[in-house]
Amino acid sequence: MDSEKTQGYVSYLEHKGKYKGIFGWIFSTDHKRIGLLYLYAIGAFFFIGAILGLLMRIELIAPGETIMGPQTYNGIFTVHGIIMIFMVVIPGLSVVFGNLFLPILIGAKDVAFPRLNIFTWWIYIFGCVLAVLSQFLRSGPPDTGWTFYAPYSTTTGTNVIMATTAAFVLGFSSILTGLNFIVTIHRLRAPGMTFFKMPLFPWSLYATAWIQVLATPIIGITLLMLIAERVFRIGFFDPNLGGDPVLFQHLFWIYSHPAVYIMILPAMGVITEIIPTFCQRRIYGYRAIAFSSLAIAGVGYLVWGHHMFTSGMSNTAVWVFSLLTFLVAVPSAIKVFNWLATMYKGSIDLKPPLLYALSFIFLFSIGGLTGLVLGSLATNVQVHDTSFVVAHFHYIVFGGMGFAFFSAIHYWFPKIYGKMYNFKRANIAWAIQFIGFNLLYFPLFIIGLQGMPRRYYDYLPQFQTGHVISTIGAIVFIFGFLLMVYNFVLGARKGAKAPANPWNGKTLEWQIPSPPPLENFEGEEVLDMDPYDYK
Amino acid sequence: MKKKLSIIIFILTLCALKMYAQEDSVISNEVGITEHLGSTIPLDLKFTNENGEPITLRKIVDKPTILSFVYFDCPGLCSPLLEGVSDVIKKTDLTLGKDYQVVTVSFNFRDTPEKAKKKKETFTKRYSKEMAENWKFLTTDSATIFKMIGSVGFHIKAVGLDFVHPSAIVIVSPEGKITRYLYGISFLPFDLKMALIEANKGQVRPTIQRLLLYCFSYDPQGKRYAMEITKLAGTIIIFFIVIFFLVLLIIKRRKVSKTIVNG
Repeated sequence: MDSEKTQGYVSYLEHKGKYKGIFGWIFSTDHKRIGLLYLYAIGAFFFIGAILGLLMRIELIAPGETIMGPQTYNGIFTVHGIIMIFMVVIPGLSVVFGNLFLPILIGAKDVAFPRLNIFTWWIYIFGCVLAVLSQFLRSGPPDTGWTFYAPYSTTTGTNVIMATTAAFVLGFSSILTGLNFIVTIHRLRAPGMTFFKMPLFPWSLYATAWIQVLATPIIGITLLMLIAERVFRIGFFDPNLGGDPVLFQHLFWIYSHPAVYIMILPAMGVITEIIPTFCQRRIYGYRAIAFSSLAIAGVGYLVWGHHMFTSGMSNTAVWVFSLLTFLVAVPSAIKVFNWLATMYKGSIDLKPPLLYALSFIFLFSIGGLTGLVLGSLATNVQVHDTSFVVAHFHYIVFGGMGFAFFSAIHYWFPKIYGKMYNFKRANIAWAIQFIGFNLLYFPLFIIGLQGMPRRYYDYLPQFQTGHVISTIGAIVFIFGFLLMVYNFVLGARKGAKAPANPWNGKTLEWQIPSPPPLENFEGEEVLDMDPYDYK
Repeated sequence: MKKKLSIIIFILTLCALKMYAQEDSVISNEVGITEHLGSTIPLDLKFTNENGEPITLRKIVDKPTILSFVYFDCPGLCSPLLEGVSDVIKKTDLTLGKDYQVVTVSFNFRDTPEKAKKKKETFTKRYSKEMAENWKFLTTDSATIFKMIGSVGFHIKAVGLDFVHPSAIVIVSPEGKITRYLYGISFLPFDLKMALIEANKGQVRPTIQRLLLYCFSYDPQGKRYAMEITKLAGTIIIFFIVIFFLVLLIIKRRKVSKTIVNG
């Protein structure tokens, strides 16, 4: 307990609870420890998913069979999708940084239901185990793609039931986390902290949590229907049994499109915290940003049909969905313009978190604008099911949510571990990642426009240049990623001790020691503060 | 005796051939049903009831009504169809006469009220007199028949003395509007109940019936009522979420300020 003597308090990392060793972590109800548990699990799964992605890229470096056959390729892109979507990006920022910092940012000692909170982690792990098992059981890994489109998913011989059960279980974890955060934000804000004095990251978590609670049950029921169809031959989706495959697509996307906002809203929230801090400027348009989160959550719920323009919907439905898709770009653009306006005349300090945040804006804007290409009916038909789509959603999900995630780790790392990482190494890792990312995905836009279909393990020779550049980009990116992880590990072990407020932030987490004490705050005081009160 | 027997065999053979022909003609689309959902049946056509009294449908139709079309000398589908109707009347928990009524119309102009009466006795002997009163057997002339079956979209075909015809019942609202066709010769009590509730849409009904209508809808491909599982699930989810949100809004935060001082 050396640090206790020097610091005068016990940090959450050193606190000795009822259990010792690893049990002190996996049975902990402390929101910060749970956040870290999620971080390690998600980090591990991200790495597995990334390796699978790399394998696909290597397969695609030359036409024809390079390192795997078509069935293996189908299995790998399915598993890559399931891991990345259900296990990494959907829980993503919300469970890691939401758990770590939501209570601190609103002046609370913990979330509303701490036991439920650790329970969600256990459910999450259980779901992950099921998903991993589905890869190894006898019938072989599912080959449906992460979307499980019926009727193929109701007839294929692979382990679809196991994989859908996993997604179902993971959904529960998501719902319970959402519920927990909503109650926490409503009930546990420190006295004096009204909704409009809350920092904007909690605002984005609030909007996210409502989507989680409202949308996730739908995918749960849909997957149950799918399992019922496979096991009991009840005709929901398979036309041979009197079902309707388009119904599956509707139900699936009613959840899975809002799920995109489940991952991107907290990312936007993190960026909204980082930009004022590193520009030392009050956030521009606080209320506009807060309400745009709710608007994205609300309108984002109603745009799912744009995934199905070519599936056979009525013309009216098609143009209504297209219109709504264009509308959802408005609140997203509000955020982007407000971030830029915040930076205007700010004293910009290009530290690693800001570098990642700026690349988030850049990549997310490319992803968002190409999203409009997909959202308009005529162009959608041209690029539907091509690698253009693959490039688009990787720019949004990986370039957006992924870079925001890296940004958030760099931003809060000193608070989480009480140690500093090496800035120079972090900058180099960022540069490698940024270059690698664009090399990896930008060529896919071009060959997609030229007609390269997605989900194919083989292609015509004319697409090879694009694929080769893309594969080189993937390898470059992996090196940047490994360098970043190495930098973190080194920082956490041997880094210099971090001060309580290394970035001169104004939000509450910077007003307490690094790492924070077990219950965050000594006492409780009535707050009358402005989260972005920069001079 | 032998002669008689051979005649019977001859007739049976003819029947068999006829049934074969019937199947054929169904395929060739001459015989069948074109659904006229939502259109009103001609209520002023004149019929004769089983007691020989003249009557119009306007006088009869004042509640949801099941229409069935048969002819009384029918060797094939008609009796099983009426048997099916009779069965489902027995099984359903709606009351014949109170909630609905049945009208059987003969599409053979040679059929007489006497034959109708005999048919009625056969199929209503299981019921009380009051209930039997609400299953009417009507006959009429060929022009009226032509209009009547045309209005409900039945396509039938005369073959000698017999008819080739589809087998279904038509549910009509108290205003005479066609609201549903149920196909086959036997009917599920649930399908019938739903169809009758649907026919009664305009009227004041118990809540449970309204709930049933919300949760189930007619599946035209499966030709039966199916549960709207997506609608149900959606309603349940939204119900609980609204409750949750209202609880958060309405129930005040516990005052924690007292513990703060000790905190």
